[in-house]
Amino acid sequence: MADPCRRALLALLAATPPAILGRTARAQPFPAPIRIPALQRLRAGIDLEGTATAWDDSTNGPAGMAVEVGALIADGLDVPLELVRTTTATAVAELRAGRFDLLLNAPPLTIEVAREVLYADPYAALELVVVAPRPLPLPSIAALRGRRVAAQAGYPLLLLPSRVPASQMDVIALPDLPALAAALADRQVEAAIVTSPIASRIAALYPALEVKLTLGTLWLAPACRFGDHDLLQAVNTMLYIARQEGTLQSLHQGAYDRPLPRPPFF
Amino acid sequence: MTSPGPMPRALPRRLLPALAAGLFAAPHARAAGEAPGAATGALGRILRSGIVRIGVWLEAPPWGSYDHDGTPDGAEVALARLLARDLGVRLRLQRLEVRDRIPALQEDRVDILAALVPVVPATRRHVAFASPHGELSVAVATRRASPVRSLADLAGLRVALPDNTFAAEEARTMLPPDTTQLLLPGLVACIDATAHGRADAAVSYGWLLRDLSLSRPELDIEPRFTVSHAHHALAMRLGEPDLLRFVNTFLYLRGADGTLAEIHERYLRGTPDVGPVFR
Repeated sequence: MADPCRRALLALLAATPPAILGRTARAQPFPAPIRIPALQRLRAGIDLEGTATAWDDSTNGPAGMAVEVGALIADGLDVPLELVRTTTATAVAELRAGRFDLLLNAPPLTIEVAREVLYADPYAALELVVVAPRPLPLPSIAALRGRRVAAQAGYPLLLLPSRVPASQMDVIALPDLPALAAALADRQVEAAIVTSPIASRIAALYPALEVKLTLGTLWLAPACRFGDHDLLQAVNTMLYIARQEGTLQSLHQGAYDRPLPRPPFF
Repeated sequence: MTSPGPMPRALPRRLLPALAAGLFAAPHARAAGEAPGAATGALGRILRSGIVRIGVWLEAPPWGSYDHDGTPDGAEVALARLLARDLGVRLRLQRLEVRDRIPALQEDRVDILAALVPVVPATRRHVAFASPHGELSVAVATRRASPVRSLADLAGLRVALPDNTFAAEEARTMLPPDTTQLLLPGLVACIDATAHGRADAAVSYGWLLRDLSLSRPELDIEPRFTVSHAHHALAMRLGEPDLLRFVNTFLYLRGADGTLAEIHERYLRGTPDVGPVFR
């Protein structure tokens, strides 16, 4: 190697900020694993659209169980919580790319998403349900075939293919509770597939509608990037402590008006 | 005007390429073409190659054996197939002898063991266990009139052992030295030999003896005592946390949707009693 090249390399090394040589460089294509003792803040992704775990409160900003859980984890780590807004469509890719280090309301636990990220332990469990007018007979999932069905945009819509014969149904994506309720009331659709909190609110507003079927449990958990096992362990420990102290159960009861079920140990 | 200090001693030229590589490379070595945030280690390799190598033990019915067509079958084989499907890759089943299970994992001949590996301290030092997904107890049965109540009572007696099974492996080392060990081909043969007086006791599994007492109450055979009890789990090499977490998530989801219970019911009858685990 020629001397000028060597000098250039040494000069470059001397001029390089320590941050680039350390862990904090965010522009790297492969984010380095989080080191808990060096953590300055918890950059947590939050999806405020189309989830039952977080939403934008017009006066107080981000709210919901996922936000509470984020605060609880950051508090346990003794660092400030920095919420980074993301969307259902981009959340997993942005976590993997290093835009934030923890995704508070990751997609509900599915084996497909488990190939993309490290799931922490679940902090909430909701049901995916079918709501329809009382007189409509819907005794089984098979009875949805050929029907015009609305689905809550976001994760409920994404999960449909694994829970119902979606290809044999006429599925319409609707953004929120008013749109879903209006579509049902106006008979634009015969049924709607939503999460249990939305179903409770629809049934309270429109007594002519009721829950017809349950399509299974949605386990909700934060997620980390592959390789971030120190952070994963820390998050799981905070969730474990919160569960032991009853905080998680209280948050769940308050948010969803139902108890947090025991994890499904085999 | 001050004169500049002595020039730092030049770095050896041979170190410069390594220095440059270290400076520009990401701190964590990744395979070429790998996407940011992709799984690392064995999980990354499995997902990229599209193949998972799972080691099974096929001399351990009902956990590992062959069906009528000679195809590998059993509770652990069914679990291996389910895991490969959930990984979204092809399954390469690797048949292993009982004593070759841990070496096969350590020598990278398999990625995962679904081979009835008991979660015991001796094994824990060599492998990483996923959350336990089953339990097995090895028990001794005798005729109802037998005075045998403990291992010590088997001294000088004939004990039927099902050849090539975990139960036999486990019990053989614990039997009193002057016991006559009768290695018989299978669990049924051991029970039959004991019920008809050709052996004084039979080594078997707790679940099978419970099942027999319900389905064949007329059989003169009764469970006497448990020789050993252990949970068993899928095992991976140490230092593969991404794969371990994926497998634990798989067990969590399949435990929740009832698939693991179905496998257990199909091969072992009844529901297992596996305690909560902080993963």
